[in-house]
Amino acid sequence: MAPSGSSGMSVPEDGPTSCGLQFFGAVSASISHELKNAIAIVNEHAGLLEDLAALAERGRPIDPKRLKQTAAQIARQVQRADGIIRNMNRFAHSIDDPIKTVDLPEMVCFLSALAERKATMAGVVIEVVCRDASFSVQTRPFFLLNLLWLCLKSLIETIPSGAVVQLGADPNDRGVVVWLGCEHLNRSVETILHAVREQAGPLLCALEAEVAIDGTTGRIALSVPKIICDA
Amino acid sequence: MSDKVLLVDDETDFLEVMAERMKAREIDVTTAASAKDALSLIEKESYDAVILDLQMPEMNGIEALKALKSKNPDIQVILLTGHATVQKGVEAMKLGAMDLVEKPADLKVLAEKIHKAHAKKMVLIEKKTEEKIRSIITQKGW
Repeated sequence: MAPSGSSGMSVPEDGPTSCGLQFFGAVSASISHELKNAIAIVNEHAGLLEDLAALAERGRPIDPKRLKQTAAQIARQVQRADGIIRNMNRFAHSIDDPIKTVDLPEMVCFLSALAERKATMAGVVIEVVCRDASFSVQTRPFFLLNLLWLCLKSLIETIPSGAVVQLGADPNDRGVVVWLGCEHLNRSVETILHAVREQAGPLLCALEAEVAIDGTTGRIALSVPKIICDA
Repeated sequence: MSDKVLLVDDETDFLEVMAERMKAREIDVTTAASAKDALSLIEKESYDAVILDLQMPEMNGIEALKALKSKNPDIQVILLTGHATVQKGVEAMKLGAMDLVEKPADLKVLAEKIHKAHAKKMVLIEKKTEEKIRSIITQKGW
């Protein structure tokens, strides 16, 4: 039986796993779409080089500037694809250790990278405000990433296009608080909280985490213990 | 007469290079980086085909397809997608898309589809003109 967390919810045996599979699927699909876009651009540049070569064969000289420009654009897409694959690899390895010490601000940055496409599709901008900080907790990294993803996803799906989501993390007595803020949150914060609790009940239990609205800031605050009981 | 195409994709690098290659094939191409821009362009201009990316910010390809079709039911739309699934294809066809092409696209194949769209548009125009003439003849009783 999975541990019953401070959220007081019962955990179905396969709760976090089934949640995790959905998360894995969603992130993998998003990554493959991004890669396809980069590949499509490289493909067009390869086609353009073929076109230029065909013209050169017919006697039209090739402008070296044009070639340099194309090479630079291909290199940019290769770099983009490399970044996507790096994230994909890191994401795949996040499941290697069931419990691990993780740097929270680093995880928040990683979450932002994973959710960037989803945010862009919704016309939302993610701003990470804890990039330079460093503090860690001993937790279940994949489940925590999954929980943060669910919070961010619910937020993105609720706020209007053009909104900015702020992501941050602060250490506290219990461990760490990861927070999500947005100026358009006021009216929908309860809806988002309800959606997160409904979808992420098993994860909250498995992580001994709590999700609430910060009374002072109005942000969604996710409290994670410094060390998980099972560690 | 060259084929007139509206290419819609939020990836501007893709738009630029694809447009350049299409122009080299004597396709008269206009680009739009969003569905919103595409919708305002089709109000001003007539195109033989609209090549529409399925995954775009704010308004996705399916929503854009519905909006384009409601503005101009005869418009020929070819959807571009990263991952073509049977389900997506069926949904797009039901909504009146002419075709669905997976990225990375083969420009030769795409150009053929554009040409088919042009031919289809001409048939529709001829049919409409014929109907108009028939209606005038009937009404005037010549």
